[in-house]
Amino acid sequence: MCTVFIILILIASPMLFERATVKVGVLVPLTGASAYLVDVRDGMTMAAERLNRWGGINGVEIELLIRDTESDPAVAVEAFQELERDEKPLFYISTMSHLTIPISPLAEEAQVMLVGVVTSAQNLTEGRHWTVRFYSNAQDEVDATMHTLGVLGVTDLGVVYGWDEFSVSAHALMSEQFQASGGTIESVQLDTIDSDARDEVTSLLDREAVFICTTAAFMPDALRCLRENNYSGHILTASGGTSNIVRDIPESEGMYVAAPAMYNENYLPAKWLSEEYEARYGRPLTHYASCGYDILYLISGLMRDRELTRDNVHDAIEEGFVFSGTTAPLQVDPGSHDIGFDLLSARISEGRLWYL
Amino acid sequence: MVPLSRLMDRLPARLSTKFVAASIVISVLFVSLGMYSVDASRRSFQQSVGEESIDLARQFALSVDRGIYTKLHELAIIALGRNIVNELNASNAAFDAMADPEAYIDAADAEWISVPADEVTPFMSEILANNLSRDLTVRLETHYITEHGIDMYGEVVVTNKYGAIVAMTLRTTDYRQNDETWWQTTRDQTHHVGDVEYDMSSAMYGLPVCYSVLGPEGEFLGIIRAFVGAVELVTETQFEAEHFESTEVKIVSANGSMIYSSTAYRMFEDVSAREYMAPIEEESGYYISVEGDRERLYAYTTFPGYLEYSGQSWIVIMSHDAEEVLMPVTVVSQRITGASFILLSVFVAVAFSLSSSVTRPVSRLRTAAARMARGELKERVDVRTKDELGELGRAFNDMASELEDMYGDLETKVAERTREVDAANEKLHILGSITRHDALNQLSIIRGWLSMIEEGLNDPQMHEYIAKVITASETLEEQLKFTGEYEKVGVTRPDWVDVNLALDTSLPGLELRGATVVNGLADLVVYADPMFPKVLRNLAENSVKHGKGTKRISYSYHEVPDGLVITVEDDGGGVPLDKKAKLFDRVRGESGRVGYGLYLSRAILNITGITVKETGTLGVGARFEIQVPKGKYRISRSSARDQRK
Repeated sequence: MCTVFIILILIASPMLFERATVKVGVLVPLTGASAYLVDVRDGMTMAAERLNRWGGINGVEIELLIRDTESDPAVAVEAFQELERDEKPLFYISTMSHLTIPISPLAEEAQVMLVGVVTSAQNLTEGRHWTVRFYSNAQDEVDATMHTLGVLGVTDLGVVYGWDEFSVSAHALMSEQFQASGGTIESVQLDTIDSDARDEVTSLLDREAVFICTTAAFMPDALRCLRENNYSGHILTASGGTSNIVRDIPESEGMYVAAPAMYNENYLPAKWLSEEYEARYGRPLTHYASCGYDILYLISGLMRDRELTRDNVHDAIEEGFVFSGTTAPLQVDPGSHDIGFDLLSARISEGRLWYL
Repeated sequence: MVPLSRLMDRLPARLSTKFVAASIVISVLFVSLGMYSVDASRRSFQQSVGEESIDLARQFALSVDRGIYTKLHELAIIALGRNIVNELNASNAAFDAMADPEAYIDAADAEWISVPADEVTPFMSEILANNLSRDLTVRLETHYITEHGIDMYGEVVVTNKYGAIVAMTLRTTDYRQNDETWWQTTRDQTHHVGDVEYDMSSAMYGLPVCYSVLGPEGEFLGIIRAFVGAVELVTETQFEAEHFESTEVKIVSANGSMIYSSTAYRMFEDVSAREYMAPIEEESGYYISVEGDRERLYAYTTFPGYLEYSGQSWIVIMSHDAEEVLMPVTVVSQRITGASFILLSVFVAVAFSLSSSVTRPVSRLRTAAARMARGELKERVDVRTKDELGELGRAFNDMASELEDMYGDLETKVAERTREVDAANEKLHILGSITRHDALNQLSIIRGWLSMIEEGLNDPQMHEYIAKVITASETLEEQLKFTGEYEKVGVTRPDWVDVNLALDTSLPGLELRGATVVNGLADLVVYADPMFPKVLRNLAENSVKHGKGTKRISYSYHEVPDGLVITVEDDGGGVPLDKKAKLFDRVRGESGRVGYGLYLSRAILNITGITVKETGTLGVGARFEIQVPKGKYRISRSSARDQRK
């Protein structure tokens, strides 16, 4: 009898001691072309650990349910479905426009908040109730690039852009605005994810400037190609150019990039996070990591003293807010689904960013 | 006050229990002292952190005020510049030259506001592109973005002395500015810093910072107004205030509207009813409250201002998670708690060990004493220690040796005397037995001869004499037989007698004359003389012999407070009152013969302290109550069986 009782206790003990957690679904490419976004995971992990040390969200520990989307939209969809079926997270974080856009309808159907990080495609949140962007959008990328082009006095521009939603939408905006400003533009598109950017870029060598309007994954090849061909014009990239896989290669020297303000060494909010991040992961803090860090702190703050439900997460974001994050100070109007920050013109010199 | 030792003496517990109880009390006192110390330390530490946090909050508020002052100062430097003075002089001169500058401003303003906010007219573009506007953009906006990473300034506007816009970094909502409070206040007071508001042109929350531009003679030329982002302003200083990992900072207006928070918040949200706002009453202070289901230590203070800037009527609230703040005390508390448990365990273990070192010898002494009481005079205790208990053990052994020696002598003497008494008793017994035997034989011979004499006599008078002699001889015979029985009383040592069995074995051979005997003595065992069955038989015999038509004789028993009563009662009419008093004496009956039965019964019972009395009712029946004292009886089937075995 006693033995049976002990066995029952042992069987039941995991259930007895199981604690409630705030589950957050994190869909991030840890492998494949976009694997550099491991920074988002690491930033979120740091935030979750720091928040959990002092009570998580409203005293409930945060549990990150991290799934590798393998840079593949189909895998991302499967990961979402698996989490939705088995875990029912309070909300989801997804990265990259082309990996997030396929999930967005599923989030709408499940009525769960899907926060896109590093998702600049202009149409990401259009017509969506349950999808928000926590990143700068394609227009921000274009604004910064246009400013740089204005400073440099460029009127003849070549653009290489990717096949993905961000690249396409940013290119469309760029073409429209650059031509509206009186400039001429020639564009080439990478057909697939496997395209070799080298071939496309060589057709733009005679242009005054070349704007590499792709995700970071394609930039190193395009840059190397331009340098190898002794391209003498100005090279500009989208914000992906601030990532370590681009900034760390010598070909990035002298390149112009659209960059968030957090890379400014005098921007104090990012300073301590930068020190802690570098000490922990052995690589410099990127705005991908700081976005991952900020989004968890943002929602943690918004949910303060609120019941932790999906509806409340939605309402808290919908009501608008102000947030002083490590990436940038944010001011979001009620009803807005774009939690964005400005991008600034900057130039890479000796691996560092200098703002124009 | 009762001394502790006396209190311990009064406790109805064993020594070991007292030892353990005392050790627990002492250790609990120690633990309580420790806990009190921890609690006092906690309060002291909390006070220290609270006061430190007030200082931090004050420094933070000062930093914010200094930041605002810095912006004011930046405008003041620009206001002294030749560029702005020249531009304003030119603008003022142009307006002075107008016939009706106010009408011009009204017309321009009407056109300005008629254009959608996201559109820019050529007139607006001209202002946006002028030298002063570009200079302001570079010196204020671009500087902060490139050098600090913060878009600190929203809109920067310069108006002439008429309130018309001369320069601007963003398209403003209207052209005329002198109808605004900030403009009038700045003109009157040289400088002005407004409270937090939303600026349509800048599309941001911030506070207007304004400075008057004066000419060489101090004449009023115009005003420069910059809209400083509130969040951006505080973001610069927030970093300096982070003291703990969980530190959060809030700025709340005097009416309880949220102006800034280091966590996500809604601008101007009314937080006056929040739990953490309730304790805020004075200029500064600290307290513990709950937010987000967590206890936090809050410190607050008002904004002091900086130099000529008097500060806003805001309150800065700095908070840290209480668990993090009090972590050092918590660690100490946990250590003290752990040490307390160890201390308690050691105390109890030592108490057990100590108590057993005391109680084990005492227990051995007690056992030895009990054995000695049972006559085991060779019992000694094993003395191993040299302390007081060892001395007590040795004293006990000495005493036991003395007693053994004394008892040995006494036993020898008693044995000698007993042998002498036994020999004398034996002689008396033989003498009595022979004498009684011979006397009874001679009495038989006498009665035989008297019978023969009586047959040969015709004189009635002689018959009467002879009958009296025969009666006398019969009485003598009974007396001799009684002495035989009485001699047996107390000869054999008392023992436990199964009363039920005794009654069953004593009645056979007794002429009951139709009376029924009810035996209700099952399970009863008494400590009595082995002749106890004779008592039961004698009472039945008396009921039959002296009762008037006795039909029922019952034996029963019941317990009473001081022992047990065996009741023997019949329905033979009872004992006359005049005979009750001498019922147990040796008395001569109406027949002239002496009754020895009840006398003998009482003697048998008295051997073991058992008494008997008659309590019957005349006309109903006789009732004898045999009172058995406590300890001299047992009621138990098992014990009865044991006794039988």
